[in-house]
Amino acid sequence: MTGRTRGQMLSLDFLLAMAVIILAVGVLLNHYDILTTQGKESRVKSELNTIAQTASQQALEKNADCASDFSTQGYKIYGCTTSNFSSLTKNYLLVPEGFSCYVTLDGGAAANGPGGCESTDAPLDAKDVAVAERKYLSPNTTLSKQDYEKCITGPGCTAYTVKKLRVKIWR
Amino acid sequence: MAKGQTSIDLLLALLAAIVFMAVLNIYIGNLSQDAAQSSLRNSAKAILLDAYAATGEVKAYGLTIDYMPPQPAMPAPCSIEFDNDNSDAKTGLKVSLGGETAGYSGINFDDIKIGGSSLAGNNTATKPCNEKFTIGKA
Repeated sequence: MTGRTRGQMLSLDFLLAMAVIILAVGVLLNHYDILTTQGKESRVKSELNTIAQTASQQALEKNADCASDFSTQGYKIYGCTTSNFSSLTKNYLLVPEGFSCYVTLDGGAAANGPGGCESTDAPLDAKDVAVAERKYLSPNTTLSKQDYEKCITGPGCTAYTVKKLRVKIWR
Repeated sequence: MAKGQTSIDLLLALLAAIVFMAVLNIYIGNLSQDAAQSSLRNSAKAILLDAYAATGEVKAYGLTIDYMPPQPAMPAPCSIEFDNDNSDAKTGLKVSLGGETAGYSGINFDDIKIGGSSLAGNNTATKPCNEKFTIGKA
């Protein structure tokens, strides 16, 4: 113990010990705070990704009418759709209230996008944003069974054009 | 200072230690209560997201699945409500877990069947989290 005079109430040792304890508690709390924030961010990201993936699934599969001429023969063409999504709505895409959606086709705003989604991109200050991007086949003409089977078996398929659907979700 | 006399420094140090420990104890008590609530809330959200994703898969691909919700870390009464009742304008999915709730509203389950019953026509279905049930496309 350091020397002290009579009547001195707090020694330097005591003050130093208190300072070290407060510092240690501060470091622990800071560490806990960082872990909590990281966990929260991870959950928000996971939630937005799930909603974006789900919405893009609904957009492609609900709209899939590529096999209209031969769907009764047991054909279901996944990942093929027209580029008109106007019959869809935000609540059909399972985008909950409080979340916004924006749909683009090949990089441009979908002219016939789902009802209830935004017509402009997410604001620059949107903090939590997720994007799901899916390639899909857009039929160039009414798809016949012969064209479909030709496209399965070999090259030179002109029945479809590969397009890109992007669904952006934020809140 | 006379022999055997307790110094004022020691008394102050003891007092400070007691006050510090008391405050720390209250803080840790609150923290553990917050942590328990937070854990329940996070578990409810995890169940919600899992049920939401499963329903989305079913709806998109026309599947029928046996669905078992993920089990929360802390045991508590838990249920999942699929609400397709448009009359209250709040259709959606809600998870209740030990007093905490998490939900999504404004989503459409018209073509979903829970446990074989269709939700079309303003129907609702509530299932406990600890039981397996089927989610199918109507």
